Amino acid sequence: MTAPNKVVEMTGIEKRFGPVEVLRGVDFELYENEVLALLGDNGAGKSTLIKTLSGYYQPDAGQIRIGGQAVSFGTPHEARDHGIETIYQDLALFDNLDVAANVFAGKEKVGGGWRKMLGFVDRNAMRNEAREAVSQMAINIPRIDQEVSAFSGGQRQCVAIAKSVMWGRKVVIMDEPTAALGVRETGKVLDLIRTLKSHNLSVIVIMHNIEHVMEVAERAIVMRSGTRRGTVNLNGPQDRESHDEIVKMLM
Amino acid sequence: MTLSQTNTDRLGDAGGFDFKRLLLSRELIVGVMILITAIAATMLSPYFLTAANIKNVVIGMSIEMIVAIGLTIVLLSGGIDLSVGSVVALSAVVIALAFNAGLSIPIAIAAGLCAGVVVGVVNGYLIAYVGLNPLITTLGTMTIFRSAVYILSGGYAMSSIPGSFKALANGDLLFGLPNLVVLVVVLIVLFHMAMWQNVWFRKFAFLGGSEMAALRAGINVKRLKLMGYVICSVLAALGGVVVVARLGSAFPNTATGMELRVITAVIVGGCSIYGGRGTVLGAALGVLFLALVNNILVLNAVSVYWQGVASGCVLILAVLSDAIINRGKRS
Repeated sequence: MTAPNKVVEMTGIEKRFGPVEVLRGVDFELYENEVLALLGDNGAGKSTLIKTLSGYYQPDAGQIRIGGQAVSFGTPHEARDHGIETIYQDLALFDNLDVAANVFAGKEKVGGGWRKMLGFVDRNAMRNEAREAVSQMAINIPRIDQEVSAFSGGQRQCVAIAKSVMWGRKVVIMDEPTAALGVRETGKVLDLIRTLKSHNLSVIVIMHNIEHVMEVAERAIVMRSGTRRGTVNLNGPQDRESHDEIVKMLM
Repeated sequence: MTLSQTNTDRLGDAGGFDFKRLLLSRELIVGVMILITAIAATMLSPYFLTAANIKNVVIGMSIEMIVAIGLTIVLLSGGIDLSVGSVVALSAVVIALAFNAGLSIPIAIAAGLCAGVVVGVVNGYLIAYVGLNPLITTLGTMTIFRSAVYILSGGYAMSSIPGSFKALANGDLLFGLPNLVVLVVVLIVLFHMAMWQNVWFRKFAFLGGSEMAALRAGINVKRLKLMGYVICSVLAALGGVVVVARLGSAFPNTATGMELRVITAVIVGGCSIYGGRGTVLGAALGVLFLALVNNILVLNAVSVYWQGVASGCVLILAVLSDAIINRGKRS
Protein backbone atom coordinates (compact mmCIF):
# COMPACT_ATOMS: atom_id res chain seq x y z
CA MET A 1 0.00 0.00 0.00
CA THR A 2 1.34 3.41 -0.91
CA ALA A 3 1.22 6.20 1.59
CA PRO A 4 -1.17 9.02 0.71
CA ASN A 5 0.42 11.99 -1.00
CA LYS A 6 1.28 15.02 1.01
CA VAL A 7 -0.31 18.12 -0.52
CA VAL A 8 1.36 20.43 1.94
CA GLU A 9 4.49 19.76 3.90
CA MET A 10 6.02 22.31 6.23
CA THR A 11 9.22 21.52 8.07
CA GLY A 12 10.96 23.37 10.88
CA ILE A 13 8.89 26.53 10.54
CA GLU A 14 10.11 29.28 12.84
CA LYS A 15 8.63 32.73 13.19
CA ARG A 16 9.35 35.46 15.68
CA PHE A 17 7.81 38.89 16.12
CA GLY A 18 10.48 40.94 17.84
CA PRO A 19 11.44 39.12 21.02
CA VAL A 20 8.40 36.83 20.88
CA GLU A 21 9.03 33.40 19.43
CA VAL A 22 5.64 32.43 18.02
CA LEU A 23 6.60 29.31 16.07
CA ARG A 24 9.51 27.20 17.27
CA GLY A 25 10.30 24.75 14.51
CA VAL A 26 6.88 23.40 13.63
CA ASP A 27 6.40 20.46 11.28
CA PHE A 28 3.09 20.21 9.54
CA GLU A 29 1.65 18.01 6.84
CA LEU A 30 -1.64 17.79 5.00
CA TYR A 31 -2.52 14.71 2.99
CA GLU A 32 -4.45 14.69 -0.22
CA ASN A 33 -8.21 14.72 0.20
CA GLU A 34 -8.27 14.88 3.98
CA VAL A 35 -9.98 17.13 6.48
CA LEU A 36 -7.44 18.16 9.07
CA ALA A 37 -8.34 20.01 12.23
CA LEU A 38 -5.84 22.39 13.77
CA LEU A 39 -6.38 22.90 17.47
CA GLY A 40 -4.70 24.85 20.19
CA ASP A 41 -5.22 27.50 22.79
CA ASN A 42 -5.12 31.19 21.98
CA GLY A 43 -1.52 32.10 21.33
CA ALA A 44 -0.52 28.53 20.49
CA GLY A 45 0.56 29.67 17.03
CA LYS A 46 -2.22 28.18 14.88
CA SER A 47 -3.04 31.44 13.17
CA THR A 48 0.60 32.32 12.59
CA LEU A 49 1.23 28.90 11.09
CA ILE A 50 -1.79 29.24 8.81
CA LYS A 51 -0.84 32.76 7.80
CA THR A 52 2.63 31.48 6.91
CA LEU A 53 1.04 28.87 4.67
CA SER A 54 -1.30 31.39 3.05
CA GLY A 55 1.46 33.88 2.34
CA TYR A 56 0.63 36.62 4.84
CA TYR A 57 3.79 35.97 6.86
CA GLN A 58 7.17 34.81 5.68
CA PRO A 59 8.81 32.23 7.97
CA ASP A 60 12.19 33.08 9.54
CA ALA A 61 13.31 29.50 9.03
CA GLY A 62 11.92 26.29 7.64
CA GLN A 63 10.58 25.07 4.36
CA ILE A 64 7.19 24.84 2.70
CA ARG A 65 6.50 22.24 0.02
CA ILE A 66 3.34 22.13 -2.06
CA GLY A 67 2.86 18.88 -3.89
CA GLY A 68 6.49 18.01 -3.23
CA GLN A 69 7.79 21.25 -4.71
CA ALA A 70 9.58 23.77 -2.50
CA VAL A 71 7.89 27.17 -2.55
CA SER A 72 8.13 30.50 -0.78
CA PHE A 73 5.25 32.92 -0.77
CA GLY A 74 5.91 36.64 -0.74
CA THR A 75 2.22 37.57 -0.84
CA PRO A 76 -1.16 35.89 -0.33
CA HIS A 77 -1.61 36.04 -4.10
CA GLU A 78 1.36 33.78 -4.67
CA ALA A 79 -0.10 31.27 -2.23
CA ARG A 80 -3.41 31.44 -4.02
CA ASP A 81 -1.69 30.85 -7.36
CA HIS A 82 -0.36 27.62 -5.84
CA GLY A 83 -3.92 26.59 -5.04
CA ILE A 84 -4.14 27.60 -1.39
CA GLU A 85 -7.24 29.55 -0.48
CA THR A 86 -8.01 30.88 2.99
CA ILE A 87 -11.57 31.54 4.05
CA TYR A 88 -11.58 33.92 6.97
CA GLN A 89 -14.27 34.35 9.54
CA ASP A 90 -15.51 37.51 7.85
CA LEU A 91 -15.74 35.48 4.60
CA ALA A 92 -14.80 38.51 2.49
CA LEU A 93 -18.06 38.53 0.57
CA PHE A 94 -19.62 41.43 -1.28
CA ASP A 95 -22.92 41.86 0.53
CA ASN A 96 -24.24 44.21 -2.14
CA LEU A 97 -23.79 41.73 -4.99
CA ASP A 98 -25.34 38.45 -6.05
CA VAL A 99 -23.86 34.97 -5.85
CA ALA A 100 -22.45 34.98 -9.37
CA ALA A 101 -20.67 38.30 -8.86
CA ASN A 102 -19.26 37.05 -5.55
CA VAL A 103 -17.96 33.85 -7.08
CA PHE A 104 -16.41 35.64 -10.03
CA ALA A 105 -15.19 38.72 -8.13
CA GLY A 106 -12.09 40.17 -9.73
CA LYS A 107 -12.16 37.66 -12.60
CA GLU A 108 -15.48 38.31 -14.26
CA LYS A 109 -16.10 36.62 -17.58
CA VAL A 110 -16.21 38.84 -20.64
CA GLY A 111 -18.69 37.87 -23.33
CA GLY A 112 -17.81 37.08 -26.91
CA GLY A 113 -18.25 39.10 -30.10
CA TRP A 114 -19.36 42.70 -29.70
CA ARG A 115 -19.42 42.36 -25.93
CA LYS A 116 -15.72 41.59 -25.94
CA MET A 117 -14.99 44.88 -27.69
CA LEU A 118 -16.91 46.82 -25.05
CA GLY A 119 -15.56 44.71 -22.20
CA PHE A 120 -19.08 43.65 -21.28
CA VAL A 121 -19.52 40.74 -18.91
CA ASP A 122 -21.35 37.55 -19.78
CA ARG A 123 -23.93 37.44 -16.98
CA ASN A 124 -25.65 34.27 -18.10
CA ALA A 125 -22.48 32.24 -18.33
CA MET A 126 -21.35 33.46 -14.91
CA ARG A 127 -24.75 32.73 -13.40
CA ASN A 128 -24.83 29.23 -14.83
CA GLU A 129 -21.34 28.39 -13.66
CA ALA A 130 -21.99 29.83 -10.21
CA ARG A 131 -25.24 27.87 -9.98
CA GLU A 132 -23.37 24.73 -10.98
CA ALA A 133 -20.76 25.36 -8.29
CA VAL A 134 -23.17 26.08 -5.43
CA SER A 135 -25.60 23.33 -6.36
CA GLN A 136 -22.91 20.75 -5.59
CA MET A 137 -22.68 21.98 -2.03
CA ALA A 138 -24.57 20.61 0.91
CA ILE A 139 -26.31 23.91 1.55
CA ASN A 140 -29.18 25.28 -0.51
CA ILE A 141 -28.81 28.69 -2.05
CA PRO A 142 -32.35 29.91 -2.74
CA ARG A 143 -31.65 32.35 -5.53
CA ILE A 144 -28.48 32.73 -7.52
CA ASP A 145 -29.38 36.32 -8.43
CA GLN A 146 -29.95 37.51 -4.88
CA GLU A 147 -27.61 39.76 -2.93
CA VAL A 148 -25.70 37.67 -0.42
CA SER A 149 -26.56 40.09 2.41
CA ALA A 150 -29.92 38.27 2.60
CA PHE A 151 -28.25 34.91 3.23
CA SER A 152 -27.78 32.98 6.46
CA GLY A 153 -24.35 32.30 7.93
CA GLY A 154 -24.25 28.81 6.45
CA GLN A 155 -25.31 29.98 3.01
CA ARG A 156 -22.62 32.62 3.11
CA GLN A 157 -20.01 29.97 3.95
CA CYS A 158 -21.33 28.02 1.01
CA VAL A 159 -20.79 30.94 -1.37
CA ALA A 160 -17.29 31.52 -0.02
CA ILE A 161 -16.40 27.86 -0.48
CA ALA A 162 -18.02 27.59 -3.91
CA LYS A 163 -15.56 30.27 -4.95
CA SER A 164 -12.58 28.11 -3.98
CA VAL A 165 -14.03 25.01 -5.64
CA MET A 166 -14.81 27.00 -8.75
CA TRP A 167 -11.26 28.26 -9.12
CA GLY A 168 -9.78 24.81 -8.72
CA ARG A 169 -7.98 25.30 -5.45
CA LYS A 170 -6.19 22.33 -3.90
CA VAL A 171 -6.19 23.41 -0.29
CA VAL A 172 -8.88 25.33 1.57
CA ILE A 173 -8.07 26.76 4.97
CA MET A 174 -11.11 27.64 7.07
CA ASP A 175 -10.67 29.84 10.10
CA GLU A 176 -13.33 28.94 12.68
CA PRO A 177 -16.12 28.34 10.16
CA THR A 178 -18.65 27.48 12.86
CA ALA A 179 -17.96 30.37 15.20
CA ALA A 180 -20.95 32.71 15.49
CA LEU A 181 -23.38 30.19 13.96
CA GLY A 182 -26.49 28.64 15.50
CA VAL A 183 -26.87 24.89 16.08
CA ARG A 184 -28.71 24.20 12.83
CA GLU A 185 -26.40 26.32 10.72
CA THR A 186 -23.37 24.70 12.36
CA GLY A 187 -24.65 21.28 11.34
CA LYS A 188 -25.04 22.47 7.78
CA VAL A 189 -21.55 23.92 7.63
CA LEU A 190 -20.09 20.68 9.00
CA ASP A 191 -21.96 18.82 6.24
CA LEU A 192 -20.53 21.27 3.77
CA ILE A 193 -16.97 20.62 4.94
CA ARG A 194 -17.52 16.88 4.54
CA THR A 195 -18.69 17.30 0.95
CA LEU A 196 -15.56 19.23 0.05
CA LYS A 197 -13.66 15.95 -0.12
CA SER A 198 -15.65 14.94 -3.14
CA HIS A 199 -14.27 18.01 -4.92
CA ASN A 200 -10.69 16.79 -4.54
CA LEU A 201 -9.98 19.41 -1.95
CA SER A 202 -7.87 19.08 1.15
CA VAL A 203 -9.20 21.09 4.04
CA ILE A 204 -7.57 22.59 7.10
CA VAL A 205 -10.08 23.76 9.70
CA ILE A 206 -9.18 25.80 12.73
CA MET A 207 -11.73 24.97 15.42
CA HIS A 208 -12.11 25.23 19.15
CA ASN A 209 -15.09 22.94 19.55
CA ILE A 210 -13.82 19.38 19.92
CA GLU A 211 -17.25 17.88 19.21
CA HIS A 212 -17.27 19.62 15.84
CA VAL A 213 -13.72 18.47 15.15
CA MET A 214 -14.72 14.86 15.89
CA GLU A 215 -17.60 15.16 13.45
CA VAL A 216 -15.74 16.39 10.40
CA ALA A 217 -12.02 15.80 10.69
CA GLU A 218 -10.00 12.66 10.05
CA ARG A 219 -6.91 13.91 11.76
CA ALA A 220 -6.19 16.57 14.33
CA ILE A 221 -2.97 18.42 14.97
CA VAL A 222 -2.73 20.03 18.37
CA MET A 223 -0.43 22.98 18.90
CA ARG A 224 0.87 24.45 22.09
CA SER A 225 3.18 27.43 22.74
CA GLY A 226 4.57 27.50 19.25
CA THR A 227 5.25 23.80 18.92
CA ARG A 228 3.33 20.82 17.63
CA ARG A 229 2.10 18.94 20.67
CA GLY A 230 0.88 15.92 18.80
CA THR A 231 -1.33 14.34 16.16
CA VAL A 232 -4.45 12.25 16.66
CA ASN A 233 -6.18 10.12 14.04
CA LEU A 234 -9.93 10.40 14.41
CA ASN A 235 -12.57 7.79 13.69
CA GLY A 236 -15.87 9.59 13.73
CA PRO A 237 -17.88 11.29 16.45
CA GLN A 238 -18.09 8.18 18.69
CA ASP A 239 -14.33 7.85 19.06
CA ARG A 240 -14.01 8.62 22.81
CA GLU A 241 -10.38 7.57 22.97
CA SER A 242 -9.22 10.16 20.43
CA HIS A 243 -11.45 12.74 22.04
CA ASP A 244 -9.78 12.23 25.40
CA GLU A 245 -6.37 12.26 23.79
CA ILE A 246 -7.03 15.66 22.25
CA VAL A 247 -8.31 17.03 25.52
CA LYS A 248 -5.20 15.77 27.30
CA MET A 249 -2.94 17.49 24.76
CA LEU A 250 -4.83 20.74 25.07
CA MET A 251 -4.56 20.78 28.86
CA MET B 1 -45.08 32.60 0.51
CA THR B 2 -42.07 34.16 -1.13
CA LEU B 3 -40.31 32.85 -4.20
CA SER B 4 -37.24 31.84 -2.29
CA GLN B 5 -39.18 29.53 -0.04
CA THR B 6 -40.90 27.67 -2.83
CA ASN B 7 -37.65 27.03 -4.60
CA THR B 8 -35.55 25.46 -1.89
CA ASP B 9 -35.87 22.02 -3.46
CA ARG B 10 -34.15 23.29 -6.58
CA LEU B 11 -30.59 23.99 -5.64
CA GLY B 12 -29.31 27.40 -6.60
CA ASP B 13 -32.04 27.88 -9.16
CA ALA B 14 -32.77 31.40 -10.32
CA GLY B 15 -36.47 30.47 -10.28
CA GLY B 16 -37.79 32.97 -12.77
CA PHE B 17 -37.89 36.70 -12.48
CA ASP B 18 -37.97 38.47 -9.15
CA PHE B 19 -40.84 40.92 -9.68
CA LYS B 20 -40.98 41.99 -6.08
CA ARG B 21 -37.43 43.22 -6.23
CA LEU B 22 -38.09 45.14 -9.42
CA LEU B 23 -41.17 46.76 -7.89
CA LEU B 24 -39.20 47.86 -4.88
CA SER B 25 -36.20 49.09 -6.89
CA ARG B 26 -35.44 52.71 -6.30
CA GLU B 27 -35.34 53.57 -10.00
CA LEU B 28 -38.95 52.47 -10.41
CA ILE B 29 -40.14 54.19 -7.24
CA VAL B 30 -38.50 57.47 -8.25
CA GLY B 31 -39.80 57.03 -11.79
CA VAL B 32 -43.35 56.69 -10.48
CA MET B 33 -42.83 59.67 -8.19
CA ILE B 34 -41.69 61.69 -11.19
CA LEU B 35 -44.85 60.77 -13.08
CA ILE B 36 -47.06 61.65 -10.13
CA THR B 37 -45.23 64.93 -9.65
CA ALA B 38 -45.53 65.73 -13.35
CA ILE B 39 -49.28 65.04 -13.31
CA ALA B 40 -49.71 67.14 -10.18
CA ALA B 41 -47.68 69.91 -11.78
CA THR B 42 -49.86 69.84 -14.89
CA MET B 43 -52.95 70.26 -12.75
CA LEU B 44 -51.43 72.95 -10.57
CA SER B 45 -50.09 75.13 -13.34
CA PRO B 46 -51.10 75.63 -16.98
CA TYR B 47 -47.51 76.59 -17.77
CA PHE B 48 -45.93 73.29 -16.71
CA LEU B 49 -46.61 71.35 -19.87
CA THR B 50 -45.32 74.02 -22.24
CA ALA B 51 -42.31 73.46 -24.45
CA ALA B 52 -40.58 76.50 -23.00
CA ASN B 53 -40.94 75.32 -19.43
CA ILE B 54 -39.89 71.73 -20.13
CA LYS B 55 -36.86 72.98 -22.05
CA ASN B 56 -35.94 75.25 -19.16
CA VAL B 57 -36.15 72.47 -16.60
CA VAL B 58 -34.20 69.99 -18.70
CA ILE B 59 -31.45 72.42 -19.63
CA GLY B 60 -31.33 73.86 -16.14
CA MET B 61 -30.57 70.49 -14.60
CA SER B 62 -28.15 69.27 -17.28
CA ILE B 63 -25.04 70.34 -15.37
CA GLU B 64 -26.20 68.68 -12.18
CA MET B 65 -26.95 65.54 -14.19
CA ILE B 66 -23.38 65.39 -15.49
CA VAL B 67 -21.95 65.98 -12.02
CA ALA B 68 -24.33 63.36 -10.59
CA ILE B 69 -22.88 60.64 -12.86
CA GLY B 70 -19.41 61.13 -11.39
CA LEU B 71 -20.69 61.36 -7.83
CA THR B 72 -22.57 58.10 -8.31
CA ILE B 73 -19.32 56.35 -9.18
CA VAL B 74 -17.53 57.79 -6.14
CA LEU B 75 -20.42 57.09 -3.75
CA LEU B 76 -20.89 53.57 -5.12
CA SER B 77 -17.22 52.82 -4.52
CA GLY B 78 -17.61 53.89 -0.90
CA GLY B 79 -16.20 57.42 -1.06
CA ILE B 80 -17.60 60.91 -1.30
CA ASP B 81 -16.53 63.99 -3.22
CA LEU B 82 -17.47 67.42 -1.91
CA SER B 83 -15.15 69.24 -4.30
CA VAL B 84 -17.31 68.81 -7.43
CA GLY B 85 -18.88 72.28 -7.17
CA SER B 86 -15.45 73.91 -6.95
CA VAL B 87 -14.27 71.84 -9.91
CA VAL B 88 -17.18 73.06 -12.03
CA ALA B 89 -16.18 76.65 -11.23
CA LEU B 90 -12.44 75.98 -11.66
CA SER B 91 -12.98 74.43 -15.05
CA ALA B 92 -15.23 77.33 -16.07
CA VAL B 93 -12.65 79.94 -15.07
CA VAL B 94 -9.77 78.04 -16.69
CA ILE B 95 -11.71 77.94 -19.96
CA ALA B 96 -12.46 81.66 -19.75
CA LEU B 97 -8.78 82.33 -19.09
CA ALA B 98 -7.84 80.17 -22.06
CA PHE B 99 -10.16 82.21 -24.27
CA ASN B 100 -8.69 85.40 -22.84
CA ALA B 101 -5.28 84.12 -23.86
CA GLY B 102 -6.62 83.70 -27.39
CA LEU B 103 -6.60 79.89 -27.45
CA SER B 104 -8.91 77.91 -29.70
CA ILE B 105 -12.10 76.17 -28.54
CA PRO B 106 -10.74 72.57 -28.41
CA ILE B 107 -7.68 73.68 -26.46
CA ALA B 108 -9.82 75.71 -24.05
CA ILE B 109 -12.07 72.70 -23.43
CA ALA B 110 -9.02 70.48 -22.96
CA ALA B 111 -7.60 72.98 -20.44
CA GLY B 112 -10.86 72.91 -18.47
CA LEU B 113 -10.92 69.12 -18.41
CA CYS B 114 -7.25 69.05 -17.39
CA ALA B 115 -8.15 71.16 -14.36
CA GLY B 116 -10.57 68.35 -13.49
CA VAL B 117 -7.87 65.72 -13.89
CA VAL B 118 -5.57 67.68 -11.56
CA VAL B 119 -8.19 67.96 -8.79
CA GLY B 120 -9.16 64.31 -9.28
CA VAL B 121 -5.59 63.14 -8.97
CA VAL B 122 -5.04 65.26 -5.84
CA ASN B 123 -8.23 63.93 -4.22
CA GLY B 124 -7.59 60.36 -5.32
CA TYR B 125 -3.94 60.32 -4.32
CA LEU B 126 -4.63 61.69 -0.83
CA ILE B 127 -7.55 59.34 -0.27
CA ALA B 128 -6.32 56.14 -1.91
CA TYR B 129 -2.56 56.23 -1.42
CA VAL B 130 -2.11 58.41 1.67
CA GLY B 131 -5.23 56.96 3.25
CA LEU B 132 -6.97 60.18 4.30
CA ASN B 133 -10.69 60.33 4.99
CA PRO B 134 -12.58 61.18 1.77
CA LEU B 135 -15.05 63.55 3.44
CA ILE B 136 -12.32 65.65 5.03
CA THR B 137 -9.95 65.50 2.07
CA THR B 138 -12.56 66.70 -0.40
CA LEU B 139 -13.81 69.30 2.07
CA GLY B 140 -10.25 70.59 2.01
CA THR B 141 -9.89 70.53 -1.77
CA MET B 142 -13.36 72.06 -2.13
CA THR B 143 -12.19 75.07 -0.12
CA ILE B 144 -8.77 75.24 -1.75
CA PHE B 145 -10.04 75.14 -5.33
CA ARG B 146 -12.89 77.56 -4.64
CA SER B 147 -10.22 79.99 -3.44
CA ALA B 148 -8.16 79.17 -6.52
CA VAL B 149 -11.17 80.16 -8.64
CA TYR B 150 -11.34 83.58 -6.96
CA ILE B 151 -7.57 84.03 -7.24
CA LEU B 152 -7.53 83.12 -10.93
CA SER B 153 -10.53 85.26 -11.84
CA GLY B 154 -9.71 88.13 -9.51
CA GLY B 155 -13.27 87.82 -8.28
CA TYR B 156 -14.82 89.08 -11.52
CA ALA B 157 -17.09 87.37 -13.99
CA MET B 158 -15.22 86.65 -17.21
CA SER B 159 -17.29 86.92 -20.34
CA SER B 160 -15.01 87.17 -23.37
CA ILE B 161 -16.36 83.89 -24.69
CA PRO B 162 -16.50 83.29 -28.46
CA GLY B 163 -20.00 83.06 -29.93
CA SER B 164 -19.28 79.78 -31.71
CA PHE B 165 -18.56 78.19 -28.32
CA LYS B 166 -21.85 79.44 -26.91
CA ALA B 167 -23.61 78.05 -29.96
CA LEU B 168 -22.33 74.57 -29.06
CA ALA B 169 -24.39 74.50 -25.90
CA ASN B 170 -27.38 76.51 -27.01
CA GLY B 171 -27.87 74.95 -30.44
CA ASP B 172 -30.03 72.00 -31.41
CA LEU B 173 -28.34 69.95 -34.12
CA LEU B 174 -30.23 66.70 -33.64
CA PHE B 175 -33.98 66.66 -34.48
CA GLY B 176 -34.40 70.02 -32.77
CA LEU B 177 -33.33 68.56 -29.46
CA PRO B 178 -31.06 70.91 -27.53
CA ASN B 179 -27.43 69.75 -27.79
CA LEU B 180 -27.13 69.79 -24.03
CA VAL B 181 -29.96 67.32 -23.65
CA VAL B 182 -28.39 65.03 -26.23
CA LEU B 183 -25.04 65.23 -24.45
CA VAL B 184 -26.56 64.47 -21.06
CA VAL B 185 -28.64 61.54 -22.32
CA VAL B 186 -25.66 60.05 -24.15
CA LEU B 187 -23.48 60.35 -21.04
CA ILE B 188 -26.11 58.80 -18.79
CA VAL B 189 -26.71 55.87 -21.14
CA LEU B 190 -22.97 55.30 -21.65
CA PHE B 191 -22.09 55.38 -17.97
CA HIS B 192 -25.15 53.41 -16.89
CA MET B 193 -24.32 50.64 -19.36
CA ALA B 194 -20.66 50.69 -18.36
CA MET B 195 -21.40 50.44 -14.63
CA TRP B 196 -23.87 47.64 -15.35
CA GLN B 197 -21.89 45.57 -17.83
CA ASN B 198 -18.28 46.64 -18.27
CA VAL B 199 -15.74 44.52 -16.43
CA TRP B 200 -13.62 47.47 -15.35
CA PHE B 201 -16.43 49.81 -14.31
CA ARG B 202 -18.15 47.01 -12.38
CA LYS B 203 -15.15 46.92 -10.06
CA PHE B 204 -16.45 50.08 -8.37
CA ALA B 205 -19.41 48.11 -7.04
CA PHE B 206 -17.03 45.45 -5.69
CA LEU B 207 -14.89 48.12 -4.05
CA GLY B 208 -17.94 49.70 -2.42
CA GLY B 209 -19.27 46.34 -1.26
CA SER B 210 -16.18 45.43 0.69
CA GLU B 211 -12.76 46.93 0.28
CA MET B 212 -11.13 43.97 2.06
CA ALA B 213 -12.88 41.46 -0.18
CA ALA B 214 -11.98 43.49 -3.27
CA LEU B 215 -8.35 43.43 -2.18
CA ARG B 216 -8.47 39.68 -1.67
CA ALA B 217 -10.13 39.24 -5.06
CA GLY B 218 -7.02 40.76 -6.60
CA ILE B 219 -8.48 44.15 -7.48
CA ASN B 220 -5.97 47.01 -7.39
CA VAL B 221 -8.03 48.90 -4.84
CA LYS B 222 -5.85 51.99 -4.60
CA ARG B 223 -5.63 52.62 -8.30
CA LEU B 224 -9.36 52.00 -8.72
CA LYS B 225 -10.19 54.53 -5.97
CA LEU B 226 -7.90 57.09 -7.57
CA MET B 227 -9.55 56.52 -10.95
CA GLY B 228 -13.01 56.97 -9.39
CA TYR B 229 -12.09 60.44 -8.13
CA VAL B 230 -10.45 61.33 -11.44
CA ILE B 231 -13.55 60.31 -13.42
CA CYS B 232 -15.77 62.24 -10.99
CA SER B 233 -13.65 65.39 -11.28
CA VAL B 234 -13.38 65.17 -15.06
CA LEU B 235 -17.17 64.92 -15.32
CA ALA B 236 -17.50 67.91 -12.98
CA ALA B 237 -15.02 69.76 -15.20
CA LEU B 238 -17.17 68.86 -18.19
CA GLY B 239 -20.02 70.44 -16.23
CA GLY B 240 -17.86 73.57 -16.08
CA VAL B 241 -17.40 73.49 -19.86
CA VAL B 242 -21.18 73.36 -20.22
CA VAL B 243 -21.72 76.21 -17.76
CA VAL B 244 -19.45 78.55 -19.71
CA ALA B 245 -20.91 77.54 -23.05
CA ARG B 246 -24.46 77.98 -21.83
CA LEU B 247 -24.12 81.25 -19.95
CA GLY B 248 -21.40 82.78 -22.07
CA SER B 249 -19.47 83.79 -18.99
CA ALA B 250 -17.62 82.28 -16.06
CA PHE B 251 -18.64 83.50 -12.63
CA PRO B 252 -16.35 82.74 -9.70
CA ASN B 253 -19.35 81.76 -7.59
CA THR B 254 -20.56 79.23 -10.19
CA ALA B 255 -21.97 76.03 -8.69
CA THR B 256 -21.58 77.15 -5.08
CA GLY B 257 -23.35 74.58 -2.94
CA MET B 258 -23.90 72.34 -5.95
CA GLU B 259 -22.09 69.40 -4.30
CA LEU B 260 -24.73 69.10 -1.61
CA ARG B 261 -27.63 69.53 -4.06
CA VAL B 262 -26.25 66.78 -6.27
CA ILE B 263 -25.44 64.45 -3.36
CA THR B 264 -29.03 64.93 -2.19
CA ALA B 265 -30.37 64.03 -5.63
CA VAL B 266 -28.07 61.03 -6.00
CA ILE B 267 -29.17 59.64 -2.64
CA VAL B 268 -32.82 60.24 -3.54
CA GLY B 269 -32.01 58.22 -6.66
CA GLY B 270 -31.01 55.22 -4.57
CA CYS B 271 -27.28 55.60 -3.95
CA SER B 272 -26.09 54.49 -0.54
CA ILE B 273 -23.92 56.94 1.37
CA TYR B 274 -22.04 53.90 2.70
CA GLY B 275 -21.16 52.65 -0.77
CA GLY B 276 -22.00 49.51 -2.66
CA ARG B 277 -25.39 50.58 -3.93
CA GLY B 278 -26.53 52.97 -6.62
CA THR B 279 -26.97 53.31 -10.36
CA VAL B 280 -26.36 56.15 -12.78
CA LEU B 281 -29.93 55.93 -14.03
CA GLY B 282 -31.25 56.22 -10.46
CA ALA B 283 -29.05 59.24 -9.83
CA ALA B 284 -30.30 60.91 -13.01
CA LEU B 285 -33.89 60.26 -11.99
CA GLY B 286 -33.12 61.74 -8.57
CA VAL B 287 -31.85 64.92 -10.19
CA LEU B 288 -34.90 65.05 -12.45
CA PHE B 289 -37.27 64.54 -9.53
CA LEU B 290 -35.78 67.35 -7.45
CA ALA B 291 -35.74 69.62 -10.50
CA LEU B 292 -39.45 68.94 -11.03
CA VAL B 293 -40.28 69.66 -7.40
CA ASN B 294 -38.41 72.96 -7.62
CA ASN B 295 -40.15 73.76 -10.89
CA ILE B 296 -43.57 73.28 -9.31
CA LEU B 297 -42.60 75.69 -6.56
CA VAL B 298 -41.40 78.27 -9.08
CA LEU B 299 -44.49 77.93 -11.31
CA ASN B 300 -46.75 78.41 -8.32
CA ALA B 301 -44.88 81.53 -7.30
CA VAL B 302 -43.56 80.02 -4.09
CA SER B 303 -40.48 81.88 -2.93
CA VAL B 304 -37.20 80.22 -4.01
CA TYR B 305 -36.23 80.15 -0.36
CA TRP B 306 -38.61 77.23 0.02
CA GLN B 307 -36.66 75.05 -2.42
CA GLY B 308 -34.28 73.91 0.30
CA VAL B 309 -37.20 72.84 2.47
CA ALA B 310 -38.61 70.82 -0.42
CA SER B 311 -35.37 69.01 -1.34
CA GLY B 312 -34.58 68.38 2.31
CA CYS B 313 -37.99 66.82 2.87
CA VAL B 314 -37.67 64.69 -0.28
CA LEU B 315 -34.26 63.47 0.90
CA ILE B 316 -35.50 62.48 4.33
CA LEU B 317 -38.60 60.82 2.87
CA ALA B 318 -36.39 58.85 0.47
CA VAL B 319 -34.14 57.60 3.26
CA LEU B 320 -37.19 56.88 5.41
CA SER B 321 -38.88 54.84 2.68
CA ASP B 322 -35.65 52.89 2.30
CA ALA B 323 -35.62 52.12 6.01
CA ILE B 324 -39.22 50.91 5.81
CA ILE B 325 -38.63 48.74 2.73
CA ASN B 326 -35.52 47.19 4.25
CA ARG B 327 -37.03 46.63 7.67
CA GLY B 328 -36.93 42.99 8.64
CA LYS B 329 -34.14 42.18 6.22
CA ARG B 330 -30.85 40.90 7.53
CA SER B 331 -28.35 43.67 7.91
